[in-house]
Amino acid sequence: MLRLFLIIFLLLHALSANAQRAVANLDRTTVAVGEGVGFSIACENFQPLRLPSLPTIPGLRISNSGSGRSFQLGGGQQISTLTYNFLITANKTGTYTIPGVSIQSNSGLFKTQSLKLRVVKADSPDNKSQLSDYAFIRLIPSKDKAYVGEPIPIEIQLFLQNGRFNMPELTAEGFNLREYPEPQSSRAQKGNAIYQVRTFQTVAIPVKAGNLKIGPVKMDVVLKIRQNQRRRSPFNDPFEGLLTRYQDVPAKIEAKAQNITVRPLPTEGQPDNFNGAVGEFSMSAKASTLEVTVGDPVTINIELSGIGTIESLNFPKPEWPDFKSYEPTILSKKTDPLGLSGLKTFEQVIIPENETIKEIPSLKIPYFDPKSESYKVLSQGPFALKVNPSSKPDSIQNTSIAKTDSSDLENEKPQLADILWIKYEAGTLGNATPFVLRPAFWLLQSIPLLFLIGTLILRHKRNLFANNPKLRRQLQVEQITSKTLTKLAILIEENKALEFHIELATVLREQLGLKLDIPSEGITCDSIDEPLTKKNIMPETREILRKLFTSCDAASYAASQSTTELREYISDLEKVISDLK
Amino acid sequence: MNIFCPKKNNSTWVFIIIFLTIIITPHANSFTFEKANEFFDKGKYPEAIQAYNDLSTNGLSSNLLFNLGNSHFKAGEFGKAMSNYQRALKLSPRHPDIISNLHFAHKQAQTEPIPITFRQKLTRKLSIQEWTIITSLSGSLFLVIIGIFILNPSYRKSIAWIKVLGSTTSILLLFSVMSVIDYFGDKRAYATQDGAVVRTGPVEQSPELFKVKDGMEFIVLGRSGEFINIQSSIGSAGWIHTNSVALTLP
Repeated sequence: MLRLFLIIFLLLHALSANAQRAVANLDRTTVAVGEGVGFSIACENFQPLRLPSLPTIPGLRISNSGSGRSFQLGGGQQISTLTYNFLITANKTGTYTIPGVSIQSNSGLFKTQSLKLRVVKADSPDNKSQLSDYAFIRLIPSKDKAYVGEPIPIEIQLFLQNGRFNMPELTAEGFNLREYPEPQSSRAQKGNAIYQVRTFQTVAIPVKAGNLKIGPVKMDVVLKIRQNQRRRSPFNDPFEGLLTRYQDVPAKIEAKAQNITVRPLPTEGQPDNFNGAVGEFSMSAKASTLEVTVGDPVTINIELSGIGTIESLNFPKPEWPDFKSYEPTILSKKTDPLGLSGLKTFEQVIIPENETIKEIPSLKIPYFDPKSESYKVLSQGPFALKVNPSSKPDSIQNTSIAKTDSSDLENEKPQLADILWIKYEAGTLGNATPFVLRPAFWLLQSIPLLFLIGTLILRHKRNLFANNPKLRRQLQVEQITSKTLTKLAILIEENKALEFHIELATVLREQLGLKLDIPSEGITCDSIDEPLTKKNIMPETREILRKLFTSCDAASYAASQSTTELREYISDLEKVISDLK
Repeated sequence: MNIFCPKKNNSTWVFIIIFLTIIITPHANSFTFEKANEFFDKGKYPEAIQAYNDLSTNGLSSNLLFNLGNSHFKAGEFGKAMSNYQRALKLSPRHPDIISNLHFAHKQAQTEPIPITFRQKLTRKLSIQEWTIITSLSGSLFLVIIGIFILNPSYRKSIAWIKVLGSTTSILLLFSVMSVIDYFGDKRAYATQDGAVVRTGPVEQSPELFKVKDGMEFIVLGRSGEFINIQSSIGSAGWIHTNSVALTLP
């Protein structure tokens, strides 16, 4: 129980110890003349004594649009925020600075940060391609002149009344574009229409000089348009609003390209080891120790920060005499979503090789500052270093360093002095293309599959046959008929009339049994006459049948007939079989 | 009929010539391989490289690529040597000599290999061809046995065998797919020049990001024209000219 109280006390203490601050925010940093933009002041964890008031700024009309309170609890933090909202409408173009606002509270005076608002022409065809009632986009580069390698923040604003949208497609030949972070959402009023505004931000880095164009930017949107907007009822229909239907209308909206003049970096005064970094940077560096023994490593930590192409800032591997150096470990961190500002750290290990060294030479990294339009050099050091002589002989030192270097690679295997020698047998020289890319492999692979499919088909046929007795009997009768016809021909040759008639009667019974679906045993000429009539067998065929049965019956008493007669029976039999079928 | 009559038997002559060419070609290859080895033994490494490269147009083997890697190493071209060792490893992933020489080349070039994942370690126990053949045989046997079972239901008493074979085939198929993904997805390259420039974009005018040294290993992310998008072992990405790197696909 005591422990529970302690935990609750600590939690409450943690919650009450939250930071208090005032934060100002603009919905968008660029707007058109006459267009409203939301401005808010958030008071976190404190209660202002009075409503914050904004100073009068010539060219801007500021009006109060209410306040709201929110409460957030999570991650061991409690944030109670009171937000004052304002609507700012610009009367004329330009870049305005909204100064920091001081807010008095019981716990002290808080001040917001100042913000910049850029106002562009309302109906400028350059920044807006399609002034539609439903949707339009703007392409707003932050500057129209830049140097090669200088990052240009780009803003794409989508104004959409109601609907869906895809990501913008920005054409930027001669620029490297960064990926879009998550778009910001806000609302804007234009005339009587309320728009949802999505602001996409990216950075374009020019890679060549000249008069370049950024844009056009295109977007696929699906507008939700009220179907009854154009056909309003002449009567006062009370259900009109309730029964409103929306229609999806796909559309492609576009904003025109903007001109950007990209100047080449000046060649005059360009430092030798300049590698294309453009921006405003700062550097700090420190050495892990300033007193070492020969052969001991010194780690120099270099931290570069600033705004610009920080990834281009590179710390070259030092090639200082009397120092052995290794590849630096580099870590980069972007501190804003656009990657305009960031932090890059280098961890450089150097090893002094003799005791005569007095200092670590200065570290210099050049860059081009587009604001001052000149090259600058970040510099740190030199660092005084005291190197004590080593008590170990040189050879032992070198061996120990070599072993440390190779430990990862060799996994404690014995060290090789040279590569293993070549092979004197070529082996089988073959096609290195993997089998999965060869059509012959797939052709071969299909054989077992075809076999399986074949067995399935065969099995299906077998099942069909097993479950159909009529079909089974039909096949059986066909086999008997085929065999008997052959046998009959032989019996005629041998002039064996009795056997001939026995076989003939068998075939006739089997055929008739199949046709009438009755057992073949016991079929006589008299018993089949009526069923055959019902089956619409021709009288002529019935007559032949009667003749054949009579002949068979007579043969059992006196089986002596000429081969001509027997051949006639065969042709009669064949006709009967054909007719029955 | 006289087969040596050229007028009547042109097709016979063509057939004989083609046949002889086929017969003679392997001897020509082995001669070249021996010659290439001779160049290497005499320390004529550029000539050995040329000979091995000529030979590789007729087909590849792990030994050929191993020797080619050795020739590049001896010629002081660490990046090209490592790329050929990697290509050889794709054909013979367990070959101890290739693994040993690749490690040695990294050590000499003072570069770190990009580590591979556990999944890659597992799939690279066998080459893509080995995985494919085993899976193909197992799969074919599985299909044939199922076919026999369908035709003769009396064999169904030993259904356990089908289950075992089916499970084995499924596992092998999974490894084969992983091997194919690794083969085609894990594209690597080695820098072949000291001081080659990595830029922010795929054009010569793009600002320089950093310089590489011969033998540095990269992961290939993409390609645009004459430039390859690469990522180094420490995560730095940029574009390098194709002339400055050697790829690792055989």
